[in-house]
Amino acid sequence: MHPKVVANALCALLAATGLAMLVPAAYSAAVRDGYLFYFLLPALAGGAAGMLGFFATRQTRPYVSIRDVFLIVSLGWIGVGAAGSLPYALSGFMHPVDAFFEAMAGFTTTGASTVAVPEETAPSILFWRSLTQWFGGIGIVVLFVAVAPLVGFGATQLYTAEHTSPVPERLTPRIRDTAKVLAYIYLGLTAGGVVALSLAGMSLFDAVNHALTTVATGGFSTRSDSIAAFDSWAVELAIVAGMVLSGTNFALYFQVAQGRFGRAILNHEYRAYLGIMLAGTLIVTAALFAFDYRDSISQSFREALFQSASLLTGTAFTTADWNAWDPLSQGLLMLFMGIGGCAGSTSGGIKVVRAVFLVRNAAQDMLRMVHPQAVTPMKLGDRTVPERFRVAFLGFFFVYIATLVTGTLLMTLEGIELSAAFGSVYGSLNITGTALGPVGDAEFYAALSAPAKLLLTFFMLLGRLELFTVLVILTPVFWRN
Amino acid sequence: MRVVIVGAGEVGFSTARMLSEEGHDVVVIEQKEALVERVSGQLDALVIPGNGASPRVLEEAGVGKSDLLIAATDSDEANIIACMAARSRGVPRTVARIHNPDYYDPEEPFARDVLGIDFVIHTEQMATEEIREALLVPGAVNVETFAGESVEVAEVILAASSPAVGKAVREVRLPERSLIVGVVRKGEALVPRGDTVLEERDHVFLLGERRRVHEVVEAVATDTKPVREVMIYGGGRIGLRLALALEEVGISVKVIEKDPERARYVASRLRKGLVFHEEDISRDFLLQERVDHVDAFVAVTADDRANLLAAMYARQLGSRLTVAGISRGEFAPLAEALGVDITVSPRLLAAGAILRFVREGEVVAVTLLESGAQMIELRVPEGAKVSRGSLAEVKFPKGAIVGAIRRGEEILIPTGSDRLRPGDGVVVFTVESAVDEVERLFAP
Repeated sequence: MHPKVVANALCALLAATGLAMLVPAAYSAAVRDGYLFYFLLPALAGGAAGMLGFFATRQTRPYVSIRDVFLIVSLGWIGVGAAGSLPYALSGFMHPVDAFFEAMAGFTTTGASTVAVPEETAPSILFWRSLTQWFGGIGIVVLFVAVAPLVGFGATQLYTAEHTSPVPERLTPRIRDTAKVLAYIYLGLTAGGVVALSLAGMSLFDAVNHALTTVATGGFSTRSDSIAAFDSWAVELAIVAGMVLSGTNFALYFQVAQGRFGRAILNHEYRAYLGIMLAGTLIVTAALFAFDYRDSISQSFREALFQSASLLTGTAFTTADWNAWDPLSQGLLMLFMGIGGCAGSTSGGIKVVRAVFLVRNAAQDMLRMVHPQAVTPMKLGDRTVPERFRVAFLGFFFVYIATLVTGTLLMTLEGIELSAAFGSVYGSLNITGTALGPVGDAEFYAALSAPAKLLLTFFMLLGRLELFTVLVILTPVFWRN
Repeated sequence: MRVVIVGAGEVGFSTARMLSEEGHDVVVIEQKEALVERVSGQLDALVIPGNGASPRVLEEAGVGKSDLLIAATDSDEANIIACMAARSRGVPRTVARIHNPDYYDPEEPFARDVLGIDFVIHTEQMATEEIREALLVPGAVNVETFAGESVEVAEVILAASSPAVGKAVREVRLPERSLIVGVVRKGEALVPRGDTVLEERDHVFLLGERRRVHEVVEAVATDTKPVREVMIYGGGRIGLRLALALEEVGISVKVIEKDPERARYVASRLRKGLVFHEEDISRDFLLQERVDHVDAFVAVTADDRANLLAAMYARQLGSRLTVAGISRGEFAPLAEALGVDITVSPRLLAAGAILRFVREGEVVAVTLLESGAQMIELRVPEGAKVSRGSLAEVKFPKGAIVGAIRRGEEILIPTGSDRLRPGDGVVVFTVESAVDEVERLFAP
């Protein structure tokens, strides 16, 4: 542990958050919605304090240990969430706990919200909400594509294991350069989203906000009816495309940029991801047509496609009230939330690669019942995954289930009915912010007690950082020298 | 011709013997004392103890005035260095045995241009192809291709129920344009005449056009069900290559490997095939994995004894076809007695390839058989004795037979009245004692 290193990084993050708040401040000044002061104050204070701290703790050639990374990442997300909640709280728009909940739901790209009617909310606040998700998204991509494979945590390890060299498709030898390229890709996707949504008929304000939250697979919307408010095929298609692209491992875009399109498209996880999405859409389409008596196949398909893509990537935009759908479709959508998108994307869930891994592992276990001597290495594409990953993944899955169960039980202590307790924890852990039942509504979150809200933000953090990164800090071993 | 052979292992030794018996001056360089003694005791060759990759030792062997260097040690690197050194001393032709495919890609001129190797012997690859060919022509235990891939010779072991058993050769009904060119009976090769009566477990060599070789085999073989499932014992270089090659043509494979690391590697390379880790092959294990259901059991570990034993075991438990890789010459006669259907010898394959390379020009292809017989494809040179009259008139030796003549695009199955012309390609089956006679007839 190197306190100075950790403090230095956290101060840098604080300064960055302060700088980020200048964007909504400028917007507020432009539209004169009266929130300029509430952005400017924390922006300047945070920026100044962060920079002071940063220069005070700066070292030449610091040594960063793996424990430092875990601590920086976990505390960083919480710290950024706290700083980001200041505009909400200072302006009196929200109670401080609600403000922290809203900010964490933003920076973890979960998308759970206590804001029931966004239409009545100041535009600069809405803009900041969308921006928090956008910054959270780029943070997670850089963390999991550029940093995690080096340090050795998260599902992107597997992506790493799928290629020959130990530091494979980072493609640039330095983390800083990798992060830069990732930022360009992310910006490119966002800009593409803005253009596509504007062309599809959205106002510039709506287009920017939705592009920001789509590329982050976050799901904050400027409308209380989410995407259904626009009632436009073109908007829906543009957003589906954006969600699918954002649920893709960003390292694959590296390969495409290098002209290795074929290699990228052959990526095992990517094909499984598209396969799940396609199969799910078709089944839900059929179910909607057969059980819910939609007028036409095309209407069923339109609703099925949007909801499948939205929940598989953990974005949780909606165009239809799936609480009223048939149980099969509801079950599938809940399953999709758990699976999530690709490792190294902004999406949530346990990630497709882990789901594929679990299924294969079970199949291999059964094969070995029949052929006890059989040797069954885990393969992804052409590469064999080291055996220690198998153990690590089964361990991850156990912790995931255990966290889900513990969280659900803790929520019931707050007097929440069991299915809603489960749904809220499930939605937080999988970074969707929604679930079957009342959990999708802002009113549900707004009515929660303060401890319940804080508990859910903790699960959002756990889910976003793929469990172990946060949980390891809570173990005594972590603090022992 | 003066030949330097580096390494007197199985391949080096057989090659040295073959070349020395053909009248070439052979110098053998070998490091291991025991092998040095064996060579000097058994061969008419100069033996120099030492490291063949050392320029000093090569100098001592008179590499500068030699016409050919054959590097056949177990070490790829030593073979490569020996060839490079020989090339720099002006040896016109070099042959190296290479195991590791990383060093050798037939598509790449790397071996020739950079390493100075004219001809690479890749015994594992040859053995793999040998086994694969045999498995793909059901009923035949061995298939060789001649005359620009238009003629094939298939080796069939006659089962008791074969329609050919007990019949004279002229009574055996074969499809048109095919014939029996040779018979190996209890390890002895003979050239069949019309009245030779075929017996059970005779190895019969059938020559026919490539596209009809299946029909020819079916005429004498009883069990011609296609091979669909193969169990391979040993996931080494041959085992893995074979498994991959078989998977490619849609045959399902099971591989048994005793080294856990290697087993994992093999499993990661195969697409669908099952890989088992098993230290010693046991009856229980073989029954558990249904060895009685597989169409072929192929034993290709590095250990000849283990291969023979496993093949025997598999045969006893009901495997339809058994194949064993045998690298040491002394075990070969045993295989027949133990009921192993096909034996594959990297030693013979390598020696055959070297022979073909040495005789390059007149000889197009050579296949050496365990019994000492050879199948040779030759080109009739201008002014050769053999073209001075019909085959009957030129007194073709009794121990040899002309199986097919390739004249331009045409393939002829000859009779005694046919006459060879210069430029013809000829496939000849010959027993060991008639090899010299045949060569004299075909000499220019």
